[in-house]
Amino acid sequence: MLFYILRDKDGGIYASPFPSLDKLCNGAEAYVYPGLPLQLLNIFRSNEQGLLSESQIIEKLAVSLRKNECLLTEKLRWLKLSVFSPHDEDCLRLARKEELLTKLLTIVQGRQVTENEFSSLAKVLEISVTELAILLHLAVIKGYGEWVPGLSRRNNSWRCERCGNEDCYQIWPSYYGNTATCLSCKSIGPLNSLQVIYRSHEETLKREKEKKAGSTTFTSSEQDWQFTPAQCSAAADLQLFARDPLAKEALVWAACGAGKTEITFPVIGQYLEHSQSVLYAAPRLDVVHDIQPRLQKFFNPCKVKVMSGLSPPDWTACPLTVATTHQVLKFSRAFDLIILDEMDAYPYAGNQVLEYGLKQALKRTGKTIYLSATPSASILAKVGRQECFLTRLPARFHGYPLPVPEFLKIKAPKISEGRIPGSRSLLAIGDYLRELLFEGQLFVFVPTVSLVNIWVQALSLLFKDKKITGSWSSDPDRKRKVASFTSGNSDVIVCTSILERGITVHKAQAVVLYADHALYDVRALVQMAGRVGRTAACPQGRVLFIAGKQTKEITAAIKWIEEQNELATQGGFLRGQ
Amino acid sequence: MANKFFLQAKSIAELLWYEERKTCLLCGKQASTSLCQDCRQLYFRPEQRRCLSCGKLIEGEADRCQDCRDGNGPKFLSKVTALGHYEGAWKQCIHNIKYKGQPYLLIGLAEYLTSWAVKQLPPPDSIVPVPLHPNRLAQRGFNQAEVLASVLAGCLGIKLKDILCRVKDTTPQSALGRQERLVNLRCAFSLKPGIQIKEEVIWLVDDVVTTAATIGECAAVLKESGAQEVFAFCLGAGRESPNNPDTASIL
Repeated sequence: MLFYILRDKDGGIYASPFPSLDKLCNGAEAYVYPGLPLQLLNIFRSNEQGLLSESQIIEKLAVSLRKNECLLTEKLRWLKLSVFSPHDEDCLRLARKEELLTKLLTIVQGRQVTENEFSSLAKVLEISVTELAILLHLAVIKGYGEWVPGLSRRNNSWRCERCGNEDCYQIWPSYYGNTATCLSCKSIGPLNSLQVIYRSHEETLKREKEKKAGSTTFTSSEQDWQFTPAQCSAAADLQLFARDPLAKEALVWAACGAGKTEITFPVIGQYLEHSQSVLYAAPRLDVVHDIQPRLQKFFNPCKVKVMSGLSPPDWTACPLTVATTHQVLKFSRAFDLIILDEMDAYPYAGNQVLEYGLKQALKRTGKTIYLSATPSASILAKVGRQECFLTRLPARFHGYPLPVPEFLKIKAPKISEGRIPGSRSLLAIGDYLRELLFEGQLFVFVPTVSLVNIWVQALSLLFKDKKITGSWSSDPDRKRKVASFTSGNSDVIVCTSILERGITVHKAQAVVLYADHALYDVRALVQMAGRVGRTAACPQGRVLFIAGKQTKEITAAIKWIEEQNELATQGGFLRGQ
Repeated sequence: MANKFFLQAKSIAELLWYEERKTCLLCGKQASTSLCQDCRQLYFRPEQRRCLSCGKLIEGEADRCQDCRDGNGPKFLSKVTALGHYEGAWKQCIHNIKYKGQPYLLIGLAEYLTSWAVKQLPPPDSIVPVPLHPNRLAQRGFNQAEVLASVLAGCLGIKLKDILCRVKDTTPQSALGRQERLVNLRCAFSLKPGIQIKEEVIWLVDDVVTTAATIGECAAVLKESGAQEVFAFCLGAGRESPNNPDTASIL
């Protein structure tokens, strides 16, 4: 989309894609022709704007274009807006359509809409892409939003205005000189520096909310939460946090399989009752698709929108949205409450772009609740500094303690020519595994992909009567193998960390081989141990950490789990207390 | 600053520790090259013939599609070849390049573009891109045909000549039916002033060929200006259905 330089009554310089609309609404009289990408026009400092003459503005633009190696041959010049302009009629017609503008504003509330998304949004409104752009500019003139370039120049680098990334972009030469495409947020639709984003203002939302006041879509009294005592206590803590005007962030540190998702439902209900917007975000796609129906069931008739790479664009305005952390980048100051599930999981953990997206999506007065079974050191440090409220959910819903891992000091068997020859250590491991196989199915975790097939082979020789399978993240047959294991068709699954989260298998036991490997940190070890004893029918089980030496990480992981059990005991949350 | 330094060090360490993971540009699956074997087979169909006149993928033993045999194809082109079938993920990829501002994706496709072009067409003196009208160039910010031509020219060491200009701002071909497309472009192109192409063999380059009206018009201008032979190369073309030879309906 091309923008034109205009001057307001006070001499201020600004850019507009439809000068005719500015003529109608603001009485603008002249503009600089030809149009240019918005990114090239952001060169005027606010303190110099009133001082520049028309010719100085042209000169400054021309210098900037030359510097950017722009190939534009047409001469820059001021044109009067008094003569008939191509979009005059369209602009006039659309400026009178108040209803259409209101509908559009409701849809784009709290959103960052990129140029590539215009066609899908225009289809929803049953208008053309040009008509949509005119309406969005009308919204900008009325103060409901702003235009920002897809990427802006920062000295010698670029910054993506959607995801905040400053390090990862592709530069390519265009008609307008050097152009950049952001590679960090490409997965939610490509964005380059020639394109623009319509970004809604937070103030818009307030105004719209005032209009809506009194119209609630949900009342929490209808709900029967059916919580365990541990869940009741954590849910009550969260409601207290929600009422505290000064508290901004809360961490729910839960045991694996404790039912942490459900304890956020009362708070969500509290926000929905007050017509406030809530986002439930998770880094992994399958978590998002698993949680949406659960939320929908609880919060009927309020529609729960789902946004993921698999779902088609949905422009309906909903008070409750479930989205992957990548999709969150499409919002700006949209939510009063954000709940982030599995904050320590890939790809969110350590990803600055996704962290930026979450902050950007939260209203300035909004609150964030982080859910984790294995919180990172940085969030725990925040808790330590009392910048983040902490609530613990140490007991599982069935009231049994978490299985505490047993450490077994056995040296890793040697590997030669891609297989494990029979050795004393292999036989020792085999003996332990045989014991566990009497109890149920077995997860065998190994640190690297190359070890999966080696161990599948070795275990197949040791347990000839058992069905043994193996999988890793890029295994094309992964879905089928995992489904076969969860449905009980195979006895052992040898896998990398892909199955450390989000999988529940009845009567499962777990073994972590090479538990002293550098790839295994406390969090990974705790998550792997968390696969055991998750069902009410089989709430107990055994976890073995097998390694040549007991590392700090192993000790810490065992300590974390023991601490959770101790807290559960102290709180009286365990069965039979 | 320290943070940036750390990030750079981290990325260098990652390079040393991990093998770079490439994914297929079309299906997203892990692959050792920019396109996986399955997608290359599915969309490029190297074993399938192309209509010599319009580049369409055709079945059977004939050299030309039914339309061209009926005399409806372009008149001034010696041969047209399309890298792949304009459908599915390949069509989406061309859309991403053209409409979603990602012309740099063509760099990743260079080896397939050049090897197909060299196999199918005789060596040229120069490569000429189909031009965009200045208004559309200003809106889009780049001419995808020019980027494609520059990739071919750069890899093969052949001169790139941007010698055609579009003098009429026509309705986009993609918005028109077959008959309208054929008339839409009449007299839309001309040779830039002062250009000499006498006796030259030229590769004319465009992104997609459907009715071949665009490349046909450009070839006419080049031939009238003295070009010896004009061949055309494009990324995608339609496919003649064995039951329904009118591919306009397929597209």
